[in-house]
Amino acid sequence: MAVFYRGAGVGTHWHINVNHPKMTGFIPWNPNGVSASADRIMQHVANGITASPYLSLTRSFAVAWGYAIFGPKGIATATNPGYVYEIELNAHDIGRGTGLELVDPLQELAATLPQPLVTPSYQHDGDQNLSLGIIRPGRFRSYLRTPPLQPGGGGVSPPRVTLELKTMFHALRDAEILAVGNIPSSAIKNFYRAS
Amino acid sequence: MSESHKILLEGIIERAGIKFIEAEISEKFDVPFAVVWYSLGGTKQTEGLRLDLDKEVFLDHPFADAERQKVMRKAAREISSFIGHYLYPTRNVSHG
Repeated sequence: MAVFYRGAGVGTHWHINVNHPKMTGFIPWNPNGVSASADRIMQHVANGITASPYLSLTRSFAVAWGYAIFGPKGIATATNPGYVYEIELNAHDIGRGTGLELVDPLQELAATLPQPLVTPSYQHDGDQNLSLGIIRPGRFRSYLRTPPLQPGGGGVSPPRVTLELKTMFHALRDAEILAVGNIPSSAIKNFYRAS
Repeated sequence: MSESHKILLEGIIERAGIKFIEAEISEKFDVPFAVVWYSLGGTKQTEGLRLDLDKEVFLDHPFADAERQKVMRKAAREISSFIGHYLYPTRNVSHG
């Protein structure tokens, strides 16, 4: 058994006042019927394209809380809160015949990454601070812009950051697990007000 | 005390009839999101757009047409950078 969370801000599709998951379960928004793939994972996780076969979950209550605070109707307040849903899934809930799979985006992406001898690499060519820029560009943008040192002197181009690398950083930020298929309402064990 | 802080988005250029007015961030929680309020054809919309400041993407996608989608992708990067400079003015210089 494992516990996952999902946050829903005020005015979002899964806010309790819009669609109560305890009544409907969670259903991914996939209007085009696109297939699950590493490309779709990168679009979903790094580019925020939620018209995908995936529904984002997190292993972290705190991450879900962050998502629950912000919604299209504004920032949650005590009188108009967001919600964090607690979802319990067991081995018999997922896999063959259940219509539900769980995907670890890191594991899925890692399986598609090129071997070390392949050029270009998915790895960056920046310095040790670059990861700060990827994770939090608002505070550390300079690390994304400064050309890294190269053999024989300074570089001229900013560090190389691939979509694969960004996706992995962002998935780690959110302790993210992707659900493919519908999560039944019976899996939703609790919900918490967030404000 | 207000639980949010609003940042006027002066300098974000109006494109395809979309004008970005202000971004709302939480005063209470250190969370990398904002709600961006905008007008469409001069009418302020009743729903804002969630912006992930780390990913520099909108989490809400109200437009189906390709031109406006392109505008939104560019605006997400511009607004994220704008908010970054607003919040951390001294951290966004080159560390050369």
